[in-house]
Amino acid sequence: MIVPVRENWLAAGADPAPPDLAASPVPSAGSLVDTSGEGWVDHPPLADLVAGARAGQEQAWRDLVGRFARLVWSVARSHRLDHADAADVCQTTWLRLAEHLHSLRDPSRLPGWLATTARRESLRVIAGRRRETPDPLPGEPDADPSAGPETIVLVGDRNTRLWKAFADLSQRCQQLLRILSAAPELSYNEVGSVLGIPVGSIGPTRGRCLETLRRRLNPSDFTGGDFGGPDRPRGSLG
Amino acid sequence: MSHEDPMIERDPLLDDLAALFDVMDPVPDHVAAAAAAVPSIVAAWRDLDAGLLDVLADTALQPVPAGVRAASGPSGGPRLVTFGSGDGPDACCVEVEVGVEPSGTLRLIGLVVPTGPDELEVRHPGGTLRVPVDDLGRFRVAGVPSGPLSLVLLATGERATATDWITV
Repeated sequence: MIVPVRENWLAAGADPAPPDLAASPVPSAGSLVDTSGEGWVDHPPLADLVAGARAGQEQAWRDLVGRFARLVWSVARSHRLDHADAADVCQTTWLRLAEHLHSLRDPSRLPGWLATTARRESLRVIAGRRRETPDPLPGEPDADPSAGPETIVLVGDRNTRLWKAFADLSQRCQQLLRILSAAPELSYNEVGSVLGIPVGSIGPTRGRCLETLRRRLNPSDFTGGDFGGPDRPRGSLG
Repeated sequence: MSHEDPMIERDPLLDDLAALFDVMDPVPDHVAAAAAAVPSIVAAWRDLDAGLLDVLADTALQPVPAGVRAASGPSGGPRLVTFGSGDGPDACCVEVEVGVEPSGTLRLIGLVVPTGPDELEVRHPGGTLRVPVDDLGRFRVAGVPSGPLSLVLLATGERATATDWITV
């Protein structure tokens, strides 16, 4: 249920408005998980962090940033923004959250709100930067200064191949897989809103992108027909 | 939510990608630190009027007409951002034209409707810029850094009103 309280969110052109933070709560999972270097980690309930941050607890805000900084950064970078522009988008997104935190009644909507806000700011930056540079195409994975050959050596052979295979995917696949990898808690509805694509096409697109990536990663695995991968039949992806 | 839906399995390849991005394109430390410091930036304006002026329109987000390369810039005119609050007697609106100065900083030329505020403050993560608003509601700010920005309307004897944050 979407109840527009800040009607202005609905009035900003063709871009989808961020979900309404003040809408009534829906049942949530209690605790969220996120993909960190240590794998799937349990967190304190999001509602506790939001309540703490709203009450001015510095640590609660830091924990929110710690949990979702990767998501916000990933949305900006998946729009091919360079580091400086992505940093601006992140900062605007967090400033907006700080100003709107008091109206957040359903914490489970926070990840979607952050992702949608970051997308909208990314689009602003893309349009704005065209005033200065006619060809805004920085931020390709292999154009990243922090991802030079030295870094690639550190991540090992399989990861090197995974990185190269990912870089060869279409822009649409790169964007979708990056968002999905960074934000397991986003619903397909939210992902569709963030990327501006129909929710019904996310499952099939996801399956196709992962299949392409897996095939490029392990070409030999696909010659026998059974690649032993964990992919589900496409029909189960909705 | 996807992880609650038994029909949608989390593909391990997505976890591999997440781990890879943490190495190849991690959130820079200065970005995380800036985000962590946001409450202290916002806290400097505790006396603000409760309602923020939202972004009502931004030509940067409008669809580009066929044949025009961008909604802003030399070929498409300057970027125009409109902030406002609901309706009624207290309705307020700020229109701002965003121009790029030769040095790369931004120049804001704008109008406050209705008149009333005497001063306008541009707040950004690095500080503030304060300029007068004339009797007709006009203002002009030079040397604005690109990045997050919010405008604060200051009227003598009244609480200040701020716009929401926007990236310029």
